[in-house]
This record gives sequence, C-alpha cells and structure tokens, in this order.
Amino acid sequence: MADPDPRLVIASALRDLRARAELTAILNLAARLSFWGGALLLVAVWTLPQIWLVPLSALLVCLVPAAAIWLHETPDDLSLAKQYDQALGLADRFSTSVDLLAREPEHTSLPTLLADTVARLLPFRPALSQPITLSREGRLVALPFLLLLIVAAGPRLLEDASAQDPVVAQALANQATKIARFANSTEDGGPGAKRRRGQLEELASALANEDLSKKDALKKFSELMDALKEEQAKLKEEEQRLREQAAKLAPRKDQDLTDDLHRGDYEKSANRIAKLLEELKEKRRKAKEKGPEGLDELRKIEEEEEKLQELKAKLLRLMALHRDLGGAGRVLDFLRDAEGELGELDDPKVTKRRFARMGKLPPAPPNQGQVQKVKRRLVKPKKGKPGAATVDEWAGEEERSEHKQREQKQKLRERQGEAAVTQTSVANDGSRSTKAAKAVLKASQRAAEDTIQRQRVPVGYRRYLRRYFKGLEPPEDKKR
Amino acid sequence: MSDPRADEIAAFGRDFSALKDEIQKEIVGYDDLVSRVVTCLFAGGHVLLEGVPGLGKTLLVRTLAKALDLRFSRIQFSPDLMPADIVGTQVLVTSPDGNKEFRFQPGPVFANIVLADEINRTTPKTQAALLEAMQEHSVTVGGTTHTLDQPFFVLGTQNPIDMEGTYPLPEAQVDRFLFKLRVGYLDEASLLKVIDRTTSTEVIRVEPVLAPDRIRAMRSLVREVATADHVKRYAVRLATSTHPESEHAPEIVRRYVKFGASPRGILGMILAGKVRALCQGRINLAGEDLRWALHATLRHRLILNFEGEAEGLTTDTVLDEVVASVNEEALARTS
Repeated sequence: MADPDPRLVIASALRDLRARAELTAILNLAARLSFWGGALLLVAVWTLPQIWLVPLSALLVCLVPAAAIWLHETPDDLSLAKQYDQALGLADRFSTSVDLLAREPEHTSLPTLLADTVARLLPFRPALSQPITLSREGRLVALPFLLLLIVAAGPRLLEDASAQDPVVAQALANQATKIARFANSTEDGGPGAKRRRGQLEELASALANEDLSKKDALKKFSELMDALKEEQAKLKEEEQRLREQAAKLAPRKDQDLTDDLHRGDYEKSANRIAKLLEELKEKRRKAKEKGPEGLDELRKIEEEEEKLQELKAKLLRLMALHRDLGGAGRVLDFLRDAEGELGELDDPKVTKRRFARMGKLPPAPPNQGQVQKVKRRLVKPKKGKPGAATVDEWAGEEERSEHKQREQKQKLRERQGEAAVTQTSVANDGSRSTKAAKAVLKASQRAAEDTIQRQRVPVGYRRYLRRYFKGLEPPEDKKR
Repeated sequence: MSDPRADEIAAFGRDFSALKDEIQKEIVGYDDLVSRVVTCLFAGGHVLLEGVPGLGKTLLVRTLAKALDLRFSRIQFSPDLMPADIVGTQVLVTSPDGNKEFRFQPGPVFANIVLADEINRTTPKTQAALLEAMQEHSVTVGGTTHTLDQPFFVLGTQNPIDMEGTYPLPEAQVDRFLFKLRVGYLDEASLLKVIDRTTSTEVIRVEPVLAPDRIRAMRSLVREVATADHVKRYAVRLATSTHPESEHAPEIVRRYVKFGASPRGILGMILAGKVRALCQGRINLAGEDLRWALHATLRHRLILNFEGEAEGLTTDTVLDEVVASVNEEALARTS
C-alpha cells in the first residue's frame, strides 16, 4: 500500500485539530458566559422583582450556547500546529510544515520535512494538544448559580420563618385584648396582684405590638406561666411553713381549730380564734374581778391571749397567702386556656414545612363520622375507700401479675397504634366523695397541665387534654 | 525510494559526531564546548574563547585542525605585532631574470584554521587587520585583494583576567565572532584523565575525519534547513528584547543594558540553530535550537550599563530573563 501523501495527512491532521479546537473554544466560552451570565442574573434578581427570574434564566439558557457558537475564536492553523508540536515535542516540525506549505510550497527541504513530520505525526492525537480544560470562570461556573439559589430561596425561607401570618396576627391581637381585659377585671386580691397585673399587661403588649410568630408567642406564655408557677411554689412552701407554725401555736385542747388549720379552712380558723379571744376576754374580766387571787389565772389568760394573737397574725398572713395563691392560680388557669387556644391555631406554613421536610403531605382532617373503638373495663371499688380502687387490689396475686403483663402489652400496642384505646374506670359504689368537685377538677387540670409542660407534649395534642378538662368545668367557669 | 535529503541529514549527523569524537580523543571533558566549536565551524562563523591560561584552548584548536586536515596557523598576539605580521606583506624579491619585483608574502591568516592567541594583547590596529579578514574573507595588500581559502575559521582566545598592557576588543570587533564561549575548569574526573594522557607515554593520534569539500558541503546543507516564519519571529523577538528601548524588553534589560544585540546576532543564532537542528536529525529550525544558541551568540553582543556592571550582573543572567519573557507560542498565534 502506497504511503499516504504527506500533504493530505497534514491537511487531515489540521482539520482534526481545528474541530477539536472549536469544540474546546465553544465549551470554554460557554462556561465563561455561563459564569458571567449567572453573575448578571444574580444582580438582576437582587435588584429586579423576582418575577423576572424565570424569563431571564430562559434567556440565559438560550443565549449562552448561541453566543458560544457564534463568538468563539479558534486559533489559526499555525497556532494549532505549534501547540501540537509543543504538546508532543515535535520540535516545530508540524508548524514548520504548515508554514512552508502555505508560504514556500517549493522549498527544497519541504518534502523531507513533510515525510519526517508525517512519520512522527501518526497516530494523530489531537486531544493531547487540545485538552478540554476549563478556564478560571469555567471552574467557578456553579458559584453564581449557587449564590442565586441562596438569594432567591433564602428570603422566602426567612420570610416563612419570621413574617407573621395574618391569621396568627389576628389571634394574637385577640389574645392580647382578652389578657388586658382579664388583667383589669380580675378578682385577684392577693398581695402579688399588682405584680401579676403588670406581667399580664406586659404580655398583652408584647402580643399586640411585636410581630411575634405563633412559636414566639407560645414561648412568652410559657415564660410567664413558669414564673407564676415558681411564685406559686414559693407561696405554697411559705403557706406550709406558716401552717405548721400556726398549728403549734393553736391551743391543744381545741382540736377543731387544729383541724381547720390543717384543712386550710382559714376563715373558720379565724372565726374560731376570734371566738377564743372573746372567751379569753370574758375570762380575764372574771379573773380581774377575783382580784389578787385571780392573778395567776390572769397571767395564764394573758399568755394564752398572746399566743392567740400570734396565731391570729399568722392566720392573717396565711389568708393573704391563700388569696395570693388563688390569684396566681386563676391567672395560671387563664393563661393555660389562652395558650391552649393559641396552640389550637393551625399554622399552615409550619405544618406544610414540617411535612415537606419529612417528605409527606399534611394529614387529612379526621373523619368526623368515625367513632374510635374504646374498650371499657370495669373494676370493683375498694371497700371503705370510695373512688380509690385499682385492679391490683381487686385481683389475686397471680391474676395481678398476669394482668400487669397484659396491661403492659396492651399499652405498647396502643402506643404503636395497633390497638384501640383501653379505658379503665372504677365503678361507682354510691358513696360520696368528701372533696369538692371543683377543687378536684382544678387540681387535676393543673396536674395535667404540669405533665403536659414537663413531658413536652406537642402543642397539637395539648388541645385534646385541655378540651377534656374544659368539658368537665361547670358552665359558669366556662364563661370566664 | 530513499530521500537524498534525508540521507544528507543523516550523513551530517554522523560526520558531526565523528569529528567531535575525534577531537575528544585528545580533549578531555568540554563536551559542550567542543560541540559548539564544531557548530560554529559549520555555521561559517568564528569563535572567541575566553578562559584563564592552561585550560587547553590552544590544544583544542590544534586538535580541531588535525581532525579536519586543514591548514592551521597560530598567531601569538603581542603588543608589538603589526598588521602585516598577520595579513602578509609585499616583499622585494629578485626574479629569475634578475629583475627586482614585489611579491606578496601571505601572512599566517592565509590558513583554513587560524588560532589568534591572546587577541587582546595586540594593538587595535593589528586586531582590526585580523577582524577585517574575518569579515571579508579576503585581505587587501598593496591594492591587491587576496581571497582567503574556504573554510576559513578563526578561533580567538583572550584571557579574562585584567592584565597590564592588554587592549580589550572593542564591542564592534567582538561582534564579528559568531560565538563567544567561556572555557571553565574541568571536574576532578576529567583532570585525572588529563594527567594520565599528558604525563604518560600514551600517544594519541588524531586523524583527519573530514575533508574540506565535505565541510563545504555540510555548510551548504546548513543553509538548506527550513525556517518557519514564526521561528524567525521568535529569533527576532529574542534579539529585540535585549534592547532597552524595545516595548518587549523585560525590566532587567531596561534597567541594566546599554546596548542590545545586533542583527548579526540574529543571523548567528539562526545559523547555529540550523546546525543543531541537523545534528538532531531535523531539516527544520525549531525554537529550542535558537534557545540553545542564544547565549553563545548574544552574550558578547550585549553591553551592560554602569549600574549593571556595578551590580555584578552578567549578560548570561540578562539573557536568561529575556528567554523567560518571550512567549514562543504567542508569536505563532500572531503570525
């Protein structure tokens, strides 16, 4: 087979180099244009309304390749040949051949040069002299688009996080009004009433004037309620202490007074003490009438009087504490209700975001027609202690342990949603409870609330508990 | 069918190597120096060797002459040497028929290889006589021009140490030498070999390997080497970058160079580069050939200013910066 014509080989090699160089130039220019286009787009998004983002992006996508194809510059044949010479160490053979073919095709040494060049040119590897390498802008092409993403999406996320939802804003404004009204009309007569009023007014002001999100508003509620609970705990501690001191001071023979003190019936205790003081007054008068013989008796009466006065002072303090506790309790109850109302408020953004993060859609609203299956189990009441029976006291030891295991399994299944909820209720044995239903309800409500707070029950679930206790409240309390 | 030109190129390479090997039978070390001297021979130029006494400069030239089977003459320059002692003179002779006539007596310059030893010891007038012969390849005495035989190759030597009574070659005269080569000290291994060869009974015979015709043919082949336009531009750019007023001159040239390389330097660079290309088996001149020849052809053509000399700069340092500053690929783009 005859050797190919060196000129044709050179021409073919140049064609390959040209094609490769064009591709490299187009890609490089496209990368550079994309970088700068992205940078311009970034500036445009910052300065123009975001509605321009899509059309500008589309324009960029169309323009960049067109501009790259139209505007790219390919080196001339001599430069390409020179690059190839340098890449493969051909000592300018290829470039000299190209130059002489163009300028001095009749050069006496040209045929020898061509033969030498072709011998070293094959196999031709244009990629070696025209590697597809990106310029600096090409390497950074992703940067403006990344910044664009942050600039375009960032404010929206921040908006979601910080901007107040109008529904929430309205709800907070309503709560602020309610709180302010409560603060002004509350029956709180304790020594700390003024302070609590101030705290409520501060909360109302924050809800009304600061652009709080639902989360921040609930946080404010929690902070105030925590402060009030702390105050309550201190007051209870002091009450307990004073009660003990008062019980020590109470006359031993007057068991009723001691019982009243223990029960917290301070009004009755106060009446009792007033009565005792009256009796002592009468005794004193009689003792005085006895003259010197009644001195000892008088002294005793005076000692008793002194004790009773001290007891009276402590009782007055206890009554004040009790009023304060009552006041704090009422404020706490009010705040819990308000918090519950706020917590019930659906925040579509929060829900959407939460579920979007989890990759799920928000749950469908509960089907109102469905009735949840509830198993009921009745337990015999304990004798002598109405309302206090448990299944442990009712069943034998073997049955108790079996039952305990079943109960544990059942609870596990309930938690996993595999079983219907089991309600255990104690049968009514007809006996009367000695405690006021209102006090029991309030105490239970508070205990439930404390548990909610301690256990960090999600806000959405709190409403069920609060509704339950709300449902048990007497009608007149619901109006508050 | 073999390419005659390719055969010539191969033959050139072989003969070059043969000559070099023959010289190095007697000259130990100095591989690069010998290559450059032989390159200069085939480029048709002259060489100025600079080095301290006792390094073998004269031996190199003698050995070269022996290897080439050319007429060799040595001119030991001294302050009292006259131009006529170099070029020759008219002498009054009696012809056979008894008449008195003037006959031209050629001087030592009428040889193929001339060793001009310690050229900087003679007066400028005498220097000029030699340098004129080097340039013109002819001598004019008594109105008659006598052409020098080809090849005519002058190797001048000068001692770099400043000595009393020396006449440094003017720059314009130095410019006539194609190459200025620095002869340095040999390494220990080479010195040991020198001792063995020169202080023993060993006799080294250097045989002629190239005839004058072959040298002439090789010289003409050198001129057949193809030079691309961008390579010429590269050579020109290298030379013009040595001029302080040039826009392409690097900072070191602007600051420390008084005068840059002359056009003769560019020609020398190209011719020397062509010889190298042929030695490499190429029929084209490449940028790497120019870079190889750059220092030897241009170091004696740059004149440093006072600041450059005060700084202790050498022209080699300046040339290194010049090479680094010129982008060869960019010149191909602008062709």
